This record gives sequence, structure tokens and C-alpha cells, in this order.
Amino acid sequence: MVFLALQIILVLTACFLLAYTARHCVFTVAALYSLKKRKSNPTFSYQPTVSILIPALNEENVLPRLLHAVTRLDYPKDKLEVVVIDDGSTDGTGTIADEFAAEYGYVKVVHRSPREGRKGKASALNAGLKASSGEFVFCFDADYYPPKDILHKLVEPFSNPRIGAVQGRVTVLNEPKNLVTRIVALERIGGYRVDQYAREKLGLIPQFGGTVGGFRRKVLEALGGWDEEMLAEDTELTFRLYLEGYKIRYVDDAECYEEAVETWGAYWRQRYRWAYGHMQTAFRYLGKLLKSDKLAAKEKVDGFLLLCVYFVPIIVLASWLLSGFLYFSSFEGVVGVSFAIIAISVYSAVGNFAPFFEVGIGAYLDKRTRAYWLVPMFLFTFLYNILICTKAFADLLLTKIFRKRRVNWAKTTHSGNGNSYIQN
Amino acid sequence: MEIVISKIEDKRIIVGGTSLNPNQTFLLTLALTVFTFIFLFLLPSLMELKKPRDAGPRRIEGASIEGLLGAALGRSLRDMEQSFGVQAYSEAPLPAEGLLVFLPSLEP
Repeated sequence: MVFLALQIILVLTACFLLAYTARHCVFTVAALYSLKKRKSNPTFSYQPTVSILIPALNEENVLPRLLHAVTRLDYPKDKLEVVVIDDGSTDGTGTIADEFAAEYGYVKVVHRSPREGRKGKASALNAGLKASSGEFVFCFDADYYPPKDILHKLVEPFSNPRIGAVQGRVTVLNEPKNLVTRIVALERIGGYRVDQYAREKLGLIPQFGGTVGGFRRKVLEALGGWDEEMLAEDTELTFRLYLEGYKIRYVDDAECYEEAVETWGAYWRQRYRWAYGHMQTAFRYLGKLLKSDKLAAKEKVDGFLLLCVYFVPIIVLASWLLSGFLYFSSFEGVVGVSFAIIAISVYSAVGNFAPFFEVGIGAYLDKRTRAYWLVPMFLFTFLYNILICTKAFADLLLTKIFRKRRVNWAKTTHSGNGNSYIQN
Repeated sequence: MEIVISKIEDKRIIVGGTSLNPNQTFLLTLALTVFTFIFLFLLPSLMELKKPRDAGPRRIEGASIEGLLGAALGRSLRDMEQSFGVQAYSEAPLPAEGLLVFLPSLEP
């Protein structure tokens, strides 16, 4: 009886993994056959007032680069407002922001003391939202470097009143630095050039990624701003927005550089935060998503798979252990078949959630010549992600069981090394 | 001699109907095969890491990258202007071409 139950569980996990394999195949084919990229309106006639929020905690290495870039945006300056939220920095972040504010009338600084700030990005963004006034609110992390015309491209979809938020594409600036940055760059290619792009093309659930994107202010205010209890405030807001009947548009040609993490330790901390926050969101919204009358069936399926994506490595680990146990228990039946299905699915369905072929096709679409030669290295990041997600899941469960305070926001430190790839 | 593993039964490898108990040679061959497979699997990655030919960053079409001297030094605008006695940030737009410099290789 116990063996039968274990067999059924194994088959269910195999089906779960196959669903992801199918999803990634569909995304890859959709991206591949939608080669004609959507081009933004070149006239840029729609020019509402815009606020850019820049949360910054000890970002003196990278903030000048971003502020310099935003002051060079070709958006009309009388319709632009830049709000830097100095979130309790102890380095030169506040001073740098003040100097730019003195130089440029449309740059504002919100100073928060270390006691008042340092409660996470969501809290800083809410402070920025209160201090801003633009009709549309955009967010850029301090380590980003936007091109001149990005605001025009990001604003354009808002001419449709059903659009509540937009998301641009993230590209890694410090890609040549080392293996970590090169792997992250490939993950970004898979995640944006294929995953988000396909979701946009197929009318599914493009996700707001927390940066290089923006919201319609009245929608954001009606939703109550960012949820400060969530570690993945961007994913949480994405689902709150969809459940209210709004849509998110992904704009593939609104590209922006980011400075990726450069060490495996920093990679762990960042991905742990994403995994923990994503799982928090999944627990909160899975039921609501399935019951929603504002979403089409295909959006519910995609939303379900998106919410569960960080559970995949854990399920893979559980499947491995279960398969091994059943195999060595000499129990026959569907086990052998299920084991084969799982084994095949694992490497095709998961590769830090952007599977190998998605990354390969993304690199091909980006006209990369040899970047995808690094795809086999995803084997190691996949194993690494199993550990990260399992730890995040265990911590989340413990937090829920013992009603502890949630895990604190672990800030990513930016070295400013990305500057060396930009030169006069 | 070509060995064809026909089936695995009760954890014993059956070759051509005869049970084959793993001996040292078999285990060594197996280990070498696995090692060779892993090496071949990772070979393209190792080659690209050793001699990067496509290390990025990807050039964003239409991106306009201007003077970033201050940012590169991680210093504030005013400090830098005081130090150098010049206007550090150029107002004049520069063409995007040639401004993004890619490391040609990570080789020393």
C-alpha cells in the first residue's frame, strides 16, 4: 500500500515536470517563430508625466552611473521626475544624490535614516511613491544603466488603458567578468528574450521583474503600493495586478544593462531571496489565481506554472530520492517508466528555470556566436539551485510553523566593475 | 570485442544471457567512460572559458553611452570637477558606436 502511494506520487511528480518541459518547448517555439520583434512607435507621440524611483542603499559605486544615464534620457525634462530614495546609506550615496539634485531640478532625494530605512526595497519604493507625482511610476535599481530612449519605449504601451504595468528587458553589462556573470547573462537571455517574450506573444502572464518597468500610478495607489512583507515584492504585485483585471506588457526592445552578481555567494543570496519571496507569493495567490474570473484559462495555467516554478528543483530532488528508494526496494511496475520520464525531464525542464534549449535559442536570436557553449555549465547551477530552493522552502515552512518574523532582505552589493565596460 | 549489455536484472548485468559480476576491469572501464562523457559534455564550455570569443556584453541597439569618467571612479560629480578642474560630464552627445568597449578576451 505504501509502495503504491509512493508510485502514485512519483508519477504525479513526473507529470509535473513534463508540464514544465511542454511549457518551455512552447515558449521556445513561440520565440523562435516570432522573429519579427515588436517595434515601438518611432514617433514617440505619447508623453505623459513620469516619475523614476531609484531605491539606493550604500550604492556609491554604481549610483553616479545610473543618475548620469537618467539625466541623459531623451524624454522631455518638464515631464520627468527622478526620485532617489537614500534608504539609510552610510556611504556617499546620499551626497551623490544631493549633488545631482542640486544640478538637475527634476531630481529629488528622499533621505531615510538607517533606523527609518533598511526595511527592504518595497519599503523604499513606497516612500518614493509618496514623494513622487508622475502619472506613471518607473523603477530602476541603482546598478542599472538605461539607454536614452528607454522611457519612450516603456511608456508607449500605457496608451492602452487596460495596461497596468510594463516591463523592459534586462541585459548583463559585466558579462565578461567571470563564469558567474556569464552564467547570469545566459539566464537573463533565456528568461527575457525567450520566456517573457513568448508570454507576451502568446497573451499569457508577462511578469513585472522589479526593475526596468513601471506602473500606472492610479492603479498602483489603488492596490496599496508594494507589499513590504514580501521578499519578491515584484512577483506579488504582478499577481495582485492580474487579479484586478489589469495586464502587463513586456517590451523586448526596451533593453537596459544591469550589473550582475559576481560571486557564487552573492548568487546564492540573490536567488535565495527570489526563491523565498516567490514561494511566499505562491502560497498567497495560488488559490485566488485558480478562482479568478478576471483571467482566461491559458493565463491561469501559465500563472500556476509561474508561481510554482521555484518548487521545481525541490520536486526534482524529491523525485530523485523517491526513484532511488523505489528502485533499490526492487519494486516493479510503473516505477521504471516514471524514473525514465523524470530523468529526461530534469535536464530539459530545468536549468535555473530557463531550460537549456531556451537559453540556446535565446542566444541564437540575440545573434550570439559562442555564448551558448557555456550551456553545459548549467548542470552545476541547476544543482546549486536545488540547494538554494530547498533551503528557502525549509526556511519558509519553519517561519510559517513557528510564526517567526520573515527572513530579512539580503541586499546585493554592487562593485561598480560594470563601469569598466563603458568608456568615453 | 564489443560488449552489448542486453538487460539489467536484479542489479546484475546480463551480457548475452550470461550474468556478469562487476569486476575491477569493468568498474575501471565504467569510470573511464563516465569521465570521458563528462569531459566531452563540458568540453565546449571549457574551450569558451579558456579562450572567450563571445563574452559580451551584448550591445544594445540604439544605446547612447556617454562620458562616465566620474561613475567609473565611483566619485561624486562635484568632487571630480574640483579634483580635475574640468567639467567632467560632457553634455555633448557622442555616437554609440565605439563607445562600448568589449574585452576581446579574458586571456592574460
